[in-house]
Amino acid sequence: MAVAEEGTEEPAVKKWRWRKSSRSWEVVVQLGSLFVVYLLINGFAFRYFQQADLSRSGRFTLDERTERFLAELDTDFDIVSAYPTGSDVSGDIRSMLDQAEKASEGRVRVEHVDPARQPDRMESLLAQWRVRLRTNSLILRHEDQTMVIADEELVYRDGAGLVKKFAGEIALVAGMIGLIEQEPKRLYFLTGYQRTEDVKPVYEEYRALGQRQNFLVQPLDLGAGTEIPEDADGLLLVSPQVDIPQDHLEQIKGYWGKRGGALFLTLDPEAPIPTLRLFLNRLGIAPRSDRVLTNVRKFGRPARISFSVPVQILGGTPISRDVEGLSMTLPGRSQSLALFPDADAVREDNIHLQPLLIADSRYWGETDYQKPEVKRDRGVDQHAPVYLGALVERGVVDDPNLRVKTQRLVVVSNPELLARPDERQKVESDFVLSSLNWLLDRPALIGIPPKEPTRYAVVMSPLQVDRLEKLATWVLPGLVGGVAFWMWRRRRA
Amino acid sequence: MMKTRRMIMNRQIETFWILFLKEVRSYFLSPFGYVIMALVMILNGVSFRFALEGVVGKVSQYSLLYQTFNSFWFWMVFFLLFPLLTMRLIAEERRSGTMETLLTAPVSIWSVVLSKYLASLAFYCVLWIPSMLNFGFFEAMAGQSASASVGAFWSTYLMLFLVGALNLALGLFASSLTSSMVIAGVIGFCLVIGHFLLGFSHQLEAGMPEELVERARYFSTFEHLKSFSQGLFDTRPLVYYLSTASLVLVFTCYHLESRRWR
Repeated sequence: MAVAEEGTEEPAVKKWRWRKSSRSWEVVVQLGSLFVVYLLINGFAFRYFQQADLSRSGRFTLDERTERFLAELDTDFDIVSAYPTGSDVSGDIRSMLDQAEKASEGRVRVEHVDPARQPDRMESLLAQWRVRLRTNSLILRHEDQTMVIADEELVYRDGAGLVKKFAGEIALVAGMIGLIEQEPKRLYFLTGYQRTEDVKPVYEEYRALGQRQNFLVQPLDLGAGTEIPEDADGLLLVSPQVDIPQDHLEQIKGYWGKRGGALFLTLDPEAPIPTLRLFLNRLGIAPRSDRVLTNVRKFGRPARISFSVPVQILGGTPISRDVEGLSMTLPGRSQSLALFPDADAVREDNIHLQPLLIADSRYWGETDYQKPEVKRDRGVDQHAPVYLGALVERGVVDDPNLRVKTQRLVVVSNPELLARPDERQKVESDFVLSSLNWLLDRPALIGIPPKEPTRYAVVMSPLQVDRLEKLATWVLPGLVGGVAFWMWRRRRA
Repeated sequence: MMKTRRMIMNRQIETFWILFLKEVRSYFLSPFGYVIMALVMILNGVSFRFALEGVVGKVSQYSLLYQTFNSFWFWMVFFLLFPLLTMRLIAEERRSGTMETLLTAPVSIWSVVLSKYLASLAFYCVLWIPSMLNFGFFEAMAGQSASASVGAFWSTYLMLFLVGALNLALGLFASSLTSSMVIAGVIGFCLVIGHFLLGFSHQLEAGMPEELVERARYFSTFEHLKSFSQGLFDTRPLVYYLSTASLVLVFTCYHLESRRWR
């Protein structure tokens, strides 16, 4: 291309320059448009995404009951996760809350705040909502109410601080129900039938359970002429040591006979309670005058008698959804329960009776338990199945579309349930909570199991480990290195 | 007209395959590829070794697979690997003068770029097969799974593939910028590290708003690999890595195309 004198260009050069310039602009526009499309695609993917839980334990999936509860929410929640990013449960909490946001279709708004990295934001939220945190927590906000769920309610840890179970879902749902209900459910703990020093620790245990799941446990002494309050959602009668006076029992029966009456009852086989037994008999339950025990053998001969009974929670009941098949040991002394679900009186009264707890097959109900040596006597003692717990529901209707409040009762024939905090097993608390949630008609809180993280414990001999390490670090790379060397030699040749 | 178009398309595909196979041969029929493979295997082996010590005779919350691919040694392999694989792809052609021949030949830029990219991606995929063998040997000896689940195992390798797809594209782009392999390697390394650190940007400044923190996590390779190796598959990283790799390849093509205009 000839360039003419300075200041003028031939038309061909001008055309070439114009083409180059317009081409450049074309490219800029193309790249710009592509970039915009790229941003749109990623923006869309950021908001609308799918996750799949490929773990064996379903660690990242919400329980269907939780999903159902969240999908049916008709009120808004704000949830703040105050967990540091590197925390051992931050992944589980994040995944749970992401799933909760999706399942609630926007009703639940989540914010993750790392207290270490976002101290200003954390302080501003705490000041705004007037809460104080002493540990990593979830903060729930609904209308003008706030609830804090601390780490110990979300995570069960072993002695070494490792996560044993992640109970975030149940704690979250319980907290949300608690805020929705506003007025917590009230359970009245009947006093006056036990020694104060015996019953106080147990009362505190039930109260602590209530705090976890938003129900209030308050003491109630009918002996002072008090009546059962109108706001009573349930009664707790724990291991009465003396018989219930007739007038008290009439009150209890009257309360229970009303629609929605709920009663949780534990029995002490040593206590004389004929009036109470009569009440239970009418419901198809007859506590026997025996003790559930077994002979502990040593060298094939009975060495001592064991009264602590391992029991299994039976399935097929509304209580046992998340605890079915689990075992716990009931310490102290227990009596067996005779159940008559098919008795005429029971059927006529529209009573539905189911066994809840069954003793280990090695145990039997011994009537001659005072003797130093015991043995199973056919026809006299109670052989398997030996039941130590039952549930009763009266007023059930066949039509599943008809939601009717029924009268509910749970009875356990052991006085030590929750009575020994130091020895208590987690299953005990779970069983009692499931029972109370059923009694309080809170099905959303029954059956959401805590998630157990998978534990890896590999057993290999030092020789195996050594071989594997050598294979991975030297043998296989050495083979490939050998191929490289051979190839290099071949090229040189 | 249609017949001509079809003929052109077929020729382009044929040319693509020729170039692709040429690139693949350059990895597998030269010592270079095997040296890289051996290096990666050694470093992966070291990572595997340390992870094994974390699970044998101990009770751990994390699987062997998780500990292998979330350890310092693993990340060391990672950052070194992509520049090594890609630094010579275009830079060497430019240095030796064959790039001009390639650009003036009746070969589309896309064929050139895609063939080099896919060849490096194919070789990259082969590099991870020995690590699968390591886990296989472990499962045979210990009698238990190396991962949280079969899904977690494959989703981990899927994530490795996706991250590789993006980082190889970045490396290829770096290679197209210069005729010096060393400089291409350094630029590639910086791009890979820069992208990795982008995922930690929310930790650089305290008090960052939650929205920005969430967006920063969207880019975080570290978080993606962590969650995939625990068995949580998410579509977001899938879209992010594939779209970003495609965008970078487009930039590479345009950059090479621009050389034709000069």
